[in-house]
Amino acid sequence: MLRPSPRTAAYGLASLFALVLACDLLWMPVQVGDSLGELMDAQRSSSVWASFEANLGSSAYLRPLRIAQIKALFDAAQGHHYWLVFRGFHALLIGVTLLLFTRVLRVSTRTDFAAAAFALVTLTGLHTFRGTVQEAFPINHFLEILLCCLLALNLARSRGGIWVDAAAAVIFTVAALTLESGLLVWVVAAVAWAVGWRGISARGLVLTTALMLGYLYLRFVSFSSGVPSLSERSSGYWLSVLEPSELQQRFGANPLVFYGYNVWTSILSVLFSEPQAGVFEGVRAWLDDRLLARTVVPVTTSVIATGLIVWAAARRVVHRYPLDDTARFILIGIAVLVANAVLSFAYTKNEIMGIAGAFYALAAFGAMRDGLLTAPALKRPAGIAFALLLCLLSVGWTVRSVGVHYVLRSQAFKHQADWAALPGLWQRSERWPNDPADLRLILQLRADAIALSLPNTRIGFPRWPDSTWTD
Amino acid sequence: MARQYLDRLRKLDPFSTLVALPPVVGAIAWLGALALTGATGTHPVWNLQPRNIAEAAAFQDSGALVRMVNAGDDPDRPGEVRGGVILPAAATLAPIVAAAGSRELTMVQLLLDVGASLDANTWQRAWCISDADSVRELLTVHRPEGALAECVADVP
Repeated sequence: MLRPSPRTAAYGLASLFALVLACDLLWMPVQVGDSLGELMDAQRSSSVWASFEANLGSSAYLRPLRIAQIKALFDAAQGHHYWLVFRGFHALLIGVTLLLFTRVLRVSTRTDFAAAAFALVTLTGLHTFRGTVQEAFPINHFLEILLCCLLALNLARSRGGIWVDAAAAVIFTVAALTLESGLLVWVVAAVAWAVGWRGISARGLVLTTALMLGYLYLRFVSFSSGVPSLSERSSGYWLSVLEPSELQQRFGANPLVFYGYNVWTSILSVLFSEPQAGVFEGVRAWLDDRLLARTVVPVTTSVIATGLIVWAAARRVVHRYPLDDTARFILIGIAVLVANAVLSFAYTKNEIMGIAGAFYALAAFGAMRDGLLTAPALKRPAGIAFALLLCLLSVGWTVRSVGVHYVLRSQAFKHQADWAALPGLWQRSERWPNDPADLRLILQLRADAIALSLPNTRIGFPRWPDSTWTD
Repeated sequence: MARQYLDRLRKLDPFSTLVALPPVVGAIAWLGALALTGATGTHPVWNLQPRNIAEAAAFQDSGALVRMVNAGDDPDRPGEVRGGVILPAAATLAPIVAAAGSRELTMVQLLLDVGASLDANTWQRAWCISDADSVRELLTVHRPEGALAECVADVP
């Protein structure tokens, strides 16, 4: 009987995760909020280039490619297949992302495979990953940026060459003009070069740096796009969410305090799953005496996984080991975490930290591999205890990962309810359009959404999913 | 063959296997849930499907409610709602009463949007079954003439 190699098995497992996520994504309507307006704008736009041009130099953002992509997919839907095109694209993005993630691990042994399996559930189980799947605007651009960063890392680990450098430059340009988080592609390329992964050569790095400087010039000088203001959206602060007016009142005179809080809590969020979106949910639940598995499991598994990463890093520093892949993953992870947190200074949102979350999972891969190689060498009771801890950690993260299914089912149900209520809501608020094209679009999208038969997660039967996972 | 199998087991790294097993089992279970749903039409965990508009309202299933109305079902026709959702025991309720009992303003509003009507008797039953302020505020706006905001023990 043919046995798959560890590498093949790792790709097989990644493909399995990609398949289930793709199925869950396809079993979901295009959402109303943050999507319908974009789709109506795309309908009115005359071309992809017109969409791109119109969004150069908007008030607080420089994201012309984001809008151009929406227009491109809208046109591809040809007036009917919106759900298939947009959800299909989302499913494709998640599949490619998971395969790129697995590719960069370079699995070659059974131990590598076990660590890769753990890394996959860490990636998909972290709350920052939820943001890459549970919503789409109508494209999930955070997931696109994650894909770009993983592409850059794969290029950095390649044999290099002029085409690799060119590809890195193109990837950076696409990412930066899609979302601000796209600047992280440069961070990945630069730190990878610094730690010895030089598939993207010095020439490629110089080119990418020049492009980044060009982006900064365009954004802050040429178009004067600026940065988001305090009054733009709500954001978490300690135990609650503050509305824009409250943020303006508290921090208008000194926004640096708030920005510092956002950076610091974004880092903590990835490392310890607490706080989330700026709110210390676990602390609040403990104070309200309503600690459930859905609060305890994420924090516990994150604390232990972060401890494992710190242990792996510390032993390399103490014993002065030469730089190996695990050390490189940890160093790149730290750099991306800090850079990602700095980029999210204006407001906290789980999905913004999705890129840092993925690189955290890469560091966790290295740390778990270290743990599995070390456990047999320890004295028997300690070795068994350590190994059992690793196994329990794997169970905990798997529980978190499988919870994504619950998250997606809940979101799908919510999106469908939003579509069901839309005509009445818009008619009462006099927003119901008169334009025949707009009406056709809304009615098509609504019909697609209503036609889906979805499992009902709303009424709380059975009760255990709601206490195990956050929706 | 048994000896070969045992030899293979001995060579396996047990801890690596134990670490790899949960993610593999988790992914397969996830796939199994999706496959089972695809094959049977019912999710193995969340398998409560409404049998009529009243149950759709009680279960807060907007999609099912709109599908049933689009298929020609009467949004005013009472239907049996299984026990344990709105009331402890099964009961026959008008859809808008069931929606009020779900304590979800959006369900009551949705039923009004799809054409459900409120006579005095139905209004009173909806008023009494729900203690949600938002639902009662909406019911107040749509209060028909002669409808009493008084609840007696056997209503609904």
